[in-house]
Amino acid sequence: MTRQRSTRAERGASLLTDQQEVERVRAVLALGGVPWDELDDALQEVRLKLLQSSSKAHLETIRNPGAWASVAASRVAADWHRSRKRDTGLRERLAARWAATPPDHPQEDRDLALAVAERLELLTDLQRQVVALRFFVDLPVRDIALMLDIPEGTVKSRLNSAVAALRTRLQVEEIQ
Amino acid sequence: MTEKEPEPEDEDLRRAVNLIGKEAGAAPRKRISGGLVAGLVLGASLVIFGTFILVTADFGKNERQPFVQSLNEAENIACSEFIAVGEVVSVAPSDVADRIIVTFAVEDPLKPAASPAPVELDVLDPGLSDPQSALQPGDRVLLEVPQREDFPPAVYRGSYLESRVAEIEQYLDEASDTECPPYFQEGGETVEMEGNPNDGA
Repeated sequence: MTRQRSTRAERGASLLTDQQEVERVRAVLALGGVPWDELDDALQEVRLKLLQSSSKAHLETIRNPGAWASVAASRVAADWHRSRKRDTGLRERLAARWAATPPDHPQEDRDLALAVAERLELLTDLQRQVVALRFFVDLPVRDIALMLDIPEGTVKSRLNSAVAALRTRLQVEEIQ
Repeated sequence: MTEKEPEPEDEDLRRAVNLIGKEAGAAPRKRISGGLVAGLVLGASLVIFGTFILVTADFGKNERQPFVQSLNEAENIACSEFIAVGEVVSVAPSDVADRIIVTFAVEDPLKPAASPAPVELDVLDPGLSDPQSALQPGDRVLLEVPQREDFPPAVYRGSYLESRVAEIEQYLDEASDTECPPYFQEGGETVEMEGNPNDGA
């Protein structure tokens, strides 16, 4: 048991430097509405939060350090807008990046991503949080509820309303 | 709980969100000084080393692990005081801040199985944490009111209402023999969530 905890502690440490984890945390922050030019500031805040909470955490309760970091990032993103602006140019930034360097994805996927990026800005912070955790981090509803300390019904409710809002708006655009 | 298979549109959404996330994650970064990185890594090592000692010293003492606690469907129903489909007749502020009095015309009572119609529910305003869940007179919704008064009710509308009702009906029998975990019971304590990103992160 002690050995297992040590391993998890080591994984916690690697979280701070692992490139893949860093990119995932930055992605969760961006999906949560943190402007791209503030992603690194927000990333530092996530690191500090993880360090602070690690110091008082019982690591046997952290079953999935990657998910733990993503949830922490989603919370930083949800709180980011209290003192700062939300990102209002996600679609434009994506379009500019893809104009400069087209990705290896079908045009149809890129168009959908641009449309979703635009409409994400219309969701509430809490809706964006569950959308990022469910669809990007791929956490089950149950785990999201567990880690955010809210009932599963609340997660489903936020997720359903967010997806319904995205779908409705996408459908309206298709009709128009 | 068995999660539903994602609908095709959900897969489209997942693909789109992943594409956005990957681009944002790999977007150009600010340059961070080597000193700062070294400081962070050193800080991380110290804190995690300290945590390791703390955890080792505390081994076997901590039996309460709220972070690993969650509800399955039967427990979720067992922990609900009231579940019904109906129409919101009126919404008025309660005497207590952040709470509302909802007059609800029950059409399909799920828990308890029989319910007067209309009922008056004193609940934490679900619109505070999620504007899409705000209740308005005339709304036809499924309401799941948890036992704990400091948890907001879950609100389902439209096509999600019917699928959620079917889900609940599937677990109603099992729920009648299921005990709600203490943390989620009425008057359950709000405990410090050790190791939870909610706590400080």
